[in-house]
Amino acid sequence: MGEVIVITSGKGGVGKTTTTANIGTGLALEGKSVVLLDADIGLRNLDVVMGLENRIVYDLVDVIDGICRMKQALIKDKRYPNLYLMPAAQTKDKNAVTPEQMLKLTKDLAEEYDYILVDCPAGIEQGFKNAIVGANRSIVVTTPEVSAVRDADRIIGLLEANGLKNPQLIINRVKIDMVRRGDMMNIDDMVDILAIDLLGVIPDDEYIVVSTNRGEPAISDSKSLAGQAYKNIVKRILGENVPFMSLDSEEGFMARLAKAFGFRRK
Amino acid sequence: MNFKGKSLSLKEYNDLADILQNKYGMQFLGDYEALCSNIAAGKEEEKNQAKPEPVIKQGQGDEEKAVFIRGTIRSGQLIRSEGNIVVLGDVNPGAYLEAAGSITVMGKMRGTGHAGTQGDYSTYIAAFRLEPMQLRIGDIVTRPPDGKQYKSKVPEMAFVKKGMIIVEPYLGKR
Ligand SMILES: Nc1ncnc2c1ncn2[C@@H]1O[C@H](COP(=O)(O)OP(=O)(O)O)[C@@H](O)[C@H]1O
Ligand SMILES: [Mg+2]
Repeated sequence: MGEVIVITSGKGGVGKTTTTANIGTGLALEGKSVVLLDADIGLRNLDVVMGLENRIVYDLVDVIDGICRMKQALIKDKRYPNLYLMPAAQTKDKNAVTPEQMLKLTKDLAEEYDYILVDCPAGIEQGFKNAIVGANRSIVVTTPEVSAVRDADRIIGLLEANGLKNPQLIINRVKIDMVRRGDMMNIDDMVDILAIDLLGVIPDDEYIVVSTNRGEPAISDSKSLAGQAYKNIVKRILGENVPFMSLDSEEGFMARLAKAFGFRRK
Repeated sequence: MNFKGKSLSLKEYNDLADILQNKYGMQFLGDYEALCSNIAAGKEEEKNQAKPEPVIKQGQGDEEKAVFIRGTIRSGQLIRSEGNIVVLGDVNPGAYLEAAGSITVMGKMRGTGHAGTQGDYSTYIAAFRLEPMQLRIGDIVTRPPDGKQYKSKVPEMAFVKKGMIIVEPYLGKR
């Protein structure tokens, strides 16, 4: 049985889709079979970030409605072994799918693949409920902003209430120069408030924008700082104990980060 | 007294009893066994039990209906009680506690707390670290001063004095 991981945040635009694409690609690069499941029905963009938009024939709603078989809707990413995308429907609304249907779909996928990564829509409505229903693990993405942290806190409460007991935290878009000046929310404070395990910290990186436009996840480029940070997160997901500080090409960044934050791993 | 959330381990029970007795000056009745069988027994049987209920006795107030919670209370969550509320954990910004009685938080209180919702001005809001969004006792409302984020360094309690909410450390004077 594969693992179903939902990537969620509450607030929109903090990096769920970016994170789903990068972690998924990273897991595939580590030899795992991976399905990226876009649960953001009506506002899909995981296909764009992966550069697979023009290959969509069927989508998630077609599978659920029995218009096609599960495998027909899975787009194989030719660049990586064993990486697949199940796109969301663009033209239907979120209520086209019920939690029961999503539960069955994720179960069926988990029978055949190692990791199912569910890209969750923003908000706490039906779309959120659909995205988390089949998950056995959850990742909460936030940026170092009060409003994003507040929403993350709300989401953690809802995840816990729905039986997802140990969500893990990714803090995205940390700006190194702002950290240096002490103008950014302290990572320790964020971890303290949210009271969950930290899975990783992703720097704000122009390369993310470049790679998104190219449809190539940053993790596939060794020059990208964010890509490096995602690589470490992938290793942590696979159970490796990657320290937050002593990382080769990340050394400078993480060491500075560590100093500036008085960093510790929870 | 009703219990919500996870049940307590023996160590937690002892810690809690210790905190309540030594720091809050409360009297603690009932042993661990009685407390836990009480949790297991549930509401119906609770009423039928002949022996006295284990309660955290405060001398006054409505100890019958206290709500006891262990864990983090998160943004968007609301805890309501017809008696007192005791939280063994943090209350985050955006969370709400509403008690007809008093509120005690044995962690950081960063949410909104409303004690004496039925108009009882003798109630209080106490916390290990009182850094609230807003406090209300009865119909009186107060909030920390604007500007830099308020950091509390000692345990404090808020209570009503001459129609105003006063915040004072509750330790050290005894
Ligand atoms: N670490 C980062 N550095 C720079 N830009 C980022 C980073 N993470 C995300 N972004 C950008 O932020 C925007 C929102 O990201 P996205 O993953 O679509 O968020 P969500 O799915 O949560 O709405 C995108 O334009 C993306 O390129
Ligand atoms: Mg998205």
